[in-house]
Amino acid sequence: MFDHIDPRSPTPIYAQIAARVRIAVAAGDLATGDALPSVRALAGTLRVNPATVVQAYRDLEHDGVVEMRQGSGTFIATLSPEARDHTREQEARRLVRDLLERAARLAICPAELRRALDTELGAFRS
Amino acid sequence: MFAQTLYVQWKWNRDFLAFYTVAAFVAPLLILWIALTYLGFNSARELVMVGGIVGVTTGAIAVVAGLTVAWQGYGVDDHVGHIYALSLPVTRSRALVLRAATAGIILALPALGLWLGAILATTQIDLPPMLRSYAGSLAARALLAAWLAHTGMFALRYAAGRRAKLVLATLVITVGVLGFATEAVPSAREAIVSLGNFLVSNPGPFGVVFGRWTLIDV
Amino acid sequence: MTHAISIDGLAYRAGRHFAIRDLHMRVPNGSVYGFLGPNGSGKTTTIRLMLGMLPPADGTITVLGHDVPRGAHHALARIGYVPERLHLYPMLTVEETMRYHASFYERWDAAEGERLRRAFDLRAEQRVGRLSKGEAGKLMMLLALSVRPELLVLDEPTDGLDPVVRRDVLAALLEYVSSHGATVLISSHLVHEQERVCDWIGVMDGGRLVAEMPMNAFRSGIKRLRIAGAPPHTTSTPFGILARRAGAGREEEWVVRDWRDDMTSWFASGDAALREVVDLDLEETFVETLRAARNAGGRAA
Repeated sequence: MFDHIDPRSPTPIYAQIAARVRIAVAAGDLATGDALPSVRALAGTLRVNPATVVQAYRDLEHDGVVEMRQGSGTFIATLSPEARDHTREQEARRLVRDLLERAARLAICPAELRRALDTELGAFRS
Repeated sequence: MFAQTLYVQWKWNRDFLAFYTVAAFVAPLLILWIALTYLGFNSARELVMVGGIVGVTTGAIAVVAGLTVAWQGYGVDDHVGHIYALSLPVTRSRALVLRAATAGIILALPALGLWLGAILATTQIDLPPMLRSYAGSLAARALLAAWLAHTGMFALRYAAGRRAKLVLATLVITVGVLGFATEAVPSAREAIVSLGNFLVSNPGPFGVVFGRWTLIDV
Repeated sequence: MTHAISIDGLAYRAGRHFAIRDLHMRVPNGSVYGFLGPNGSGKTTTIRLMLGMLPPADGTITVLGHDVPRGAHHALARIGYVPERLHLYPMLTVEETMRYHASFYERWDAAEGERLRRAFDLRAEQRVGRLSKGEAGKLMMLLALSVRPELLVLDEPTDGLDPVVRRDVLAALLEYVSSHGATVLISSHLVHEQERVCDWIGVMDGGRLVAEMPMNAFRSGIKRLRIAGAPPHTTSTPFGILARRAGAGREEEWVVRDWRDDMTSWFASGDAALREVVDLDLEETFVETLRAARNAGGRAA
């Protein structure tokens, strides 16, 4: 789940970690009550600053995706199917936001982007 | 800290020490055997001379042992660039005292070897009534000489920095000036000569090395 | 004490030439501080000065609240140090080295030392002089971590190690940092590694620190812009221009700092067109920072 964290990407590492967890939850790979790796273990495995992992977990906790229990670790929070759908919607919007940001950097205007989206969606369906 | 430094000093000096200890043990036995059995020395004067030879030989072994341990100890640190010793949480003075003190302890071994060898050697012979064996004092003298040699070489090797070089330079200059004064100023000569005598004879600090080295004496 | 290491006005001479001059540095408590700089910029010398191994020519150094080099031995009791090259005594075995080292540190954790020795697969009776480079690196990290330090000072700790060993060493380091909140100073030219691990960065060049700031500010602060139709002179840009270079075709490449995304609007007016905003990775940011610092020095001189 956490392979290919890219420190060189413009997305900060903590956001990449958090995104992986969100996607896993949205796809059903992680269920309520599942434990995430400890900060210590994940920092060691990914060879990243532990503060980064803490930030990712806090971010997730803020959005209600996980619960950080003092002394026991971090667990996926109770998510109703509605909450899960909400998370999927949030993730989809995040993907679009990323796309919009990257397009802005390449000076591609929203109209061009919309045209591209329609073309690609059409190709995707058929 | 002390125990571990002693262990480490032992580990990196044990080959040399084994050699010197054995040499110091064998020397009196060998020399006395050669003199008495092979060459047939048995007069009082001859025995005293042989005792002197044993003394000088074992004295030399002790001094060389002291020099070697000091040289070797510094050499090990020098080989790794002194980084390890400098990174440990001890003051420099404490680190040096640890080294010197533990070296002093391990230098007791050649002296011990000498003592045993000397005792063994002299029990094998019939000494004439006026002569006696000085095995104990010879061993003690050897130990002190080893310590002195070690201290000298240790100070020389570790004399880092300008302050230490200043001290050494001052010493050399003082000795030079005194030597010159002895020749050039007659009235000062007597004072300087008696000071020199004090230093090199018992119980002066260097008396141990310049005094009389002998196993058998009156 | 908010800073684990505080350096002010440090100067050091090696022979007639000043290896370090007017160095100011602040390593915040609990940070993983990356020390970057080209070879010969004075990183190892600075580290040695910090640990009281060399006497400074001028300036003050405070480490863990102690004045260095005067109180160095107090600070060193709470510091784990991994030097560039193996500094241990070659004729001692791994076990003997651990015992010797332990005798100097009150905080030595024997159980942890033993656990790491097994985890690193180091044989107790192996002589230090016969260890491979990777094993030597692991042993030095083991010793540094087992004294339960408040500060870790690592000088090229993974240089020359194969990827597997590098992972093991870094993982052990980060696990310790996670559970003990220690401060870490890592000097390394392995920029990509620094990028993952460090949250502060100090860039050294020519005996001086030319940049010191949190990692994300450093990385996001500098961008490369692809510009078409660039005017020959620019005045009052909202961002700072570090360099202008020719790009592909008629384009120009601008290296800028203090960029914010809303600044694209500046290009809306005028002839210059912004083609792309390129994020620089740590290595590129480092290179541009050095270039800018050297040019500034050149112009000032």
